[in-house]
Amino acid sequence: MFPRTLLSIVLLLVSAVTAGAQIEIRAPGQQTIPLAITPFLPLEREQHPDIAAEVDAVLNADLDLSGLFSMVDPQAFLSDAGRLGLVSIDVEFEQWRMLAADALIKGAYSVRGDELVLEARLYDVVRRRLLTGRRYVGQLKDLRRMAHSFADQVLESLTGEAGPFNTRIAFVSTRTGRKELYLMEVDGHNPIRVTDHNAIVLNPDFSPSGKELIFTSYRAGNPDLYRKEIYTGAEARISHRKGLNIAGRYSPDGRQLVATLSKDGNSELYLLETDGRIRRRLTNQWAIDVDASWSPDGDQLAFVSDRLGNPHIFVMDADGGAARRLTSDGKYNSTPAWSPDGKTIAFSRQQGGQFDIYTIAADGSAERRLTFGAGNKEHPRWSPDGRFIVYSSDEAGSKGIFIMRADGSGARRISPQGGQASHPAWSKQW
Amino acid sequence: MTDFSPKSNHRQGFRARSEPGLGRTLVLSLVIHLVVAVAFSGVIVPRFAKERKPVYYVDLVQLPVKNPQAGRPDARPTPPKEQKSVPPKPEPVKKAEPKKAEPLVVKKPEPPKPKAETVKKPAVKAAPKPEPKAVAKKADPKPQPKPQPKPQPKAEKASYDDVLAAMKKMQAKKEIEDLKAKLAALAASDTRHEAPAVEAPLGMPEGKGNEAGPSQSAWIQTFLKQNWSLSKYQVLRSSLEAEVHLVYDARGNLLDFKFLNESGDATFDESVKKAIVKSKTLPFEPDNRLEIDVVFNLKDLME
Repeated sequence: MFPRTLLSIVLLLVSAVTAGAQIEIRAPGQQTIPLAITPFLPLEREQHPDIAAEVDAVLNADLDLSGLFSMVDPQAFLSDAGRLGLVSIDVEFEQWRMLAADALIKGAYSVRGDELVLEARLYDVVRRRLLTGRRYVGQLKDLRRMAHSFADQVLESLTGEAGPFNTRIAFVSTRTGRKELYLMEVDGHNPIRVTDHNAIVLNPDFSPSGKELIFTSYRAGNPDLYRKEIYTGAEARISHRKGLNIAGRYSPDGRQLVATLSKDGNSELYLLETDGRIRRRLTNQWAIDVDASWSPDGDQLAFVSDRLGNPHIFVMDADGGAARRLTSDGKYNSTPAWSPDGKTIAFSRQQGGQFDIYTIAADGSAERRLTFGAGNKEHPRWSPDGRFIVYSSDEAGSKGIFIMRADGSGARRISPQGGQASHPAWSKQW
Repeated sequence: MTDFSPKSNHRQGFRARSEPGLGRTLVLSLVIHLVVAVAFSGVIVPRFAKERKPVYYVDLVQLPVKNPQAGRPDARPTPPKEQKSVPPKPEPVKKAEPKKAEPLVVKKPEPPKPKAETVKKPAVKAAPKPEPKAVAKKADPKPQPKPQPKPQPKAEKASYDDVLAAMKKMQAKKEIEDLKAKLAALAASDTRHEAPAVEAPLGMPEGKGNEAGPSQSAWIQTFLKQNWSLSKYQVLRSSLEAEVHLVYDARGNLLDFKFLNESGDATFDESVKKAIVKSKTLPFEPDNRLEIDVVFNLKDLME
């Protein structure tokens, strides 16, 4: 009797638990993070709507460019958007859950004279906790930098890697009627002219420290290589050999340069000291070798050569030696740029009479076209985190600087109107 | 030299036989090994790997059912049969109150002119109707007013009900037409489904029951998927996978969860945790306490 009873009890218990089969979910239902950015509020009585608007604009532009987020419409915000909420217990997360937000940015500011204090917070709405928070103290002119910096923090908090928004992009523009070198923010704001050569300036590149630039200028009538300290403005002509002194690139450790010189009649690649002295000749071909780009570990160089016919991308060891061909298609392949993770090389290719941006794996596989549509897209360079590519395009008639995500999505013009802009280069963290 | 052969044993007077049952044991062992090998090769017994249900996309508006019928999980719900039985509504009215129906019927003959008999009906009705009622209930002088008030409200109510029913029917029809149009537009833009499949009954492809609706596990699968937010820009690899064990009580509240396998990517695992937190309450009550193993991966993530 007892065993039967026991058996029936066991059966009853077993039947009361439904053990479902294993479920597989093969992709997230939402492939963006719903983010709400509330207007920044004054910490003190004095209100500065322009500050709140500026921070809001910078954060929205940066975070939208990242492609990570779908923004919750501010029109739908409820009462909590009007409260400070710099501490998580002060935030009514339930309101934000109702609006289907997963992440929430709140912030506040105070202004005393020229001093600006900006407080910013990123909350995880689902888990009701603070993800990251920053207090920036500076001057009013630092407002955009503070906002860019917090956008970087947001990306770091949600992806583990900081964003590239608090950086600068160097580019060449004809705003003054001559090609001069400029610096601007990642969203194209605050362009500053760096050179006043009154001549053609080309091919800028940042030193790894971000404190210097090298570029080519025709200031002395010949394409010579110059080095310039950004903060002091000090400038030196480091290579003014006969013929071309172009396309200088700092090595990842900043201790040497690779550049194209044609002092012997043909364009060849050379390793140079940072003061311009030749350390080693890398190529010795009848063909043109130009536009070298370092691999992030500094062991290899990608460059352009027409040694096998049309200009193609080749890769060789950084100390010279045999080169292997990477591309095989296209009439003209140029300006390779090695990605920060070392896996991919971006370049531009002329096909059908038009240049477009492509990427190819460092082993020559997985070639992919990133840009389409009218206009020439050239001079691709990676953001320091490898998330974005900056390039020049004349799709809108005049040449401008554009940014897109590394997969080719989200392209947008960033350079200000006026003049032709080209040859962008992206700095490390500013 | 010693001869250990069976023959020699026999000759020596020993009974020549091997170990007791050794041959049979060997054969039996061989058979068992064969059976086990065949069984575990997947022919008889399925492999130990846990069965993963195929991925369905379930319309969460429709709550899960115990015994889903065969059909498509994302199909348009088949309109309930009761809706189709709306037209006969006037009939019971006619049966209960024949007179109520008559005034309504009067209108009917007008459109179908061919029937001459129906034309006669109004005439017949006009004369005989008051008579029986007047005779049956009240005096002659007021035959008309009394029957009128009674049938009037009923007739009004009946006509009101009919109009309401007709309106509902029209509305339902319009909604169905709208839905059809939307589904057709969707089907046209979606190359995955052919138009006829839209008409497939609501159910599950492997359904064997008789209830229109998704299965519980398919519903939960879609529910969790919808609550899972992760951008492709947040992860470096698309080969990430995490497995979680979820326990819901019979009221649909999450009792416990634990990672059976973590992906190794903090961002990915965090997104899975968030999806679970968002799904801590099921909008329906499962039959029993529910234990599910859920695998989250990025196999279908768009590049």
